Amino acid sequence: MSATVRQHWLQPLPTTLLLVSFHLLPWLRWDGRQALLLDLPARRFDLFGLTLWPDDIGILLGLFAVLAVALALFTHLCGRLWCGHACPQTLWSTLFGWIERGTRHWLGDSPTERVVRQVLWAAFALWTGLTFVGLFTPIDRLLWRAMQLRLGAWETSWILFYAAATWGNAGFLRRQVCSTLCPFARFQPLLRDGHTPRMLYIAPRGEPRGPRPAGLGSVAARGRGLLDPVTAQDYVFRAAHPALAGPMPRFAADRLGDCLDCGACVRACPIGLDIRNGPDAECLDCGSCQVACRQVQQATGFDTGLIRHISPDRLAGQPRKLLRRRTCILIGLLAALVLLGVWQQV
Amino acid sequence: MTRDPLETGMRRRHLLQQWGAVLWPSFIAAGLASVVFFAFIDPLRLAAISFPGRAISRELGYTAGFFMFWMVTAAASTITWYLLRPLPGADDDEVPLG
Repeated sequence: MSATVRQHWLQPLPTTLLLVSFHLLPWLRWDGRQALLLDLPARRFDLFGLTLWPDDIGILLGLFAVLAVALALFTHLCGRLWCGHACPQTLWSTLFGWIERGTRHWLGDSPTERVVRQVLWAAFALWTGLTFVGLFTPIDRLLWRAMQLRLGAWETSWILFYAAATWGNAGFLRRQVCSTLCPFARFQPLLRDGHTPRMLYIAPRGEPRGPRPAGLGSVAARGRGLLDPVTAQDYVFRAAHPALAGPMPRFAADRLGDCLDCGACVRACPIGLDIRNGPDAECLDCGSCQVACRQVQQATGFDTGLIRHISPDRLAGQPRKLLRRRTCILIGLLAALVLLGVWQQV
Repeated sequence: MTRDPLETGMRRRHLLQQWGAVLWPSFIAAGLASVVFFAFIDPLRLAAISFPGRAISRELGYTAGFFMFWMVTAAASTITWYLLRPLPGADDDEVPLG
């Protein structure tokens, strides 16, 4: 199997695995009981063998706090991988996007397509709502009652509430939630520093961009080498702001960089960003542009890595620095929370 | 008259941001408040004190409690949004430059 074909099959795998895991979560059993059950009517929470009663609210809030700080630390060290690959908003938006692509592929742009798409979206949204409510009331009995159409008023209303939220967020709002509504996206400037990886276009290698005849090698193969960063940035600015910078100069094919200006990266981006214009606060590090660019570069016979998930400081040639100020603060906070939890339990 | 698609998109985004800034943080705050409140208060005991003549299930208690919290937090967010709006007449365009 070629690398491109393998990537094509592997790319949706993490999303699929996480979605399947969520839907299987309430079906897991532990000591004969549902493994994860926040049983509100019984006022009893089961978390994989650990049973919490209302008095244990501190443990639950502490667990939430530990998970929140751990996510902040992970994002600080590895970039927005959670946002781009594992956040429920991303997972369900991707799923609903797949459904839309599928119906458009099979039925074209027609009223039938719209009806079929809405029916499929509604079915998945209802299943998500049912699964979510299944974390709060035993799911086997819930599903049994749902199949017999004997659900209680409260179960029905909460399933419909979460189904409507899923349908609206994943079907219509999608990444607008990430760019305009999500508080975690707004925390990013606080979490990241120069050593935090992000999706970056390697402008000294890619610029000046442009189509060229087939068979011309990459900048490395034909010995053009990398541009100095200031010149590369100048070309990026000219391409991004033609109204301000005037028309781009024309270059001989052998002076062009490795970017073919095919637009695959922009088409692949779920929020329509052009990664080549430089880092953008709205970028989710989902890697769609990287995958699209890699496929084009491989097909052209160029080296891959024109778009990379790398920290700006490492790209500038600075050595890796593990313990930075924000790293120490986040690790300290995490350690304090864990120690507090241990101390409370002793 | 047809609207400029860019302007329509901006208006849509602005509207979404306003509604989201009110509904979303208030939803999270209401959820957190419900978790803490109902950890200490059993809805059945609260119902026995508040409405002794009526049978109110725990589910109804939780649901009513959550939506009550959400209404209050959403009201606070709405007032914050209203207070943050620019005052009429304080438009920067009217300030003479230079």
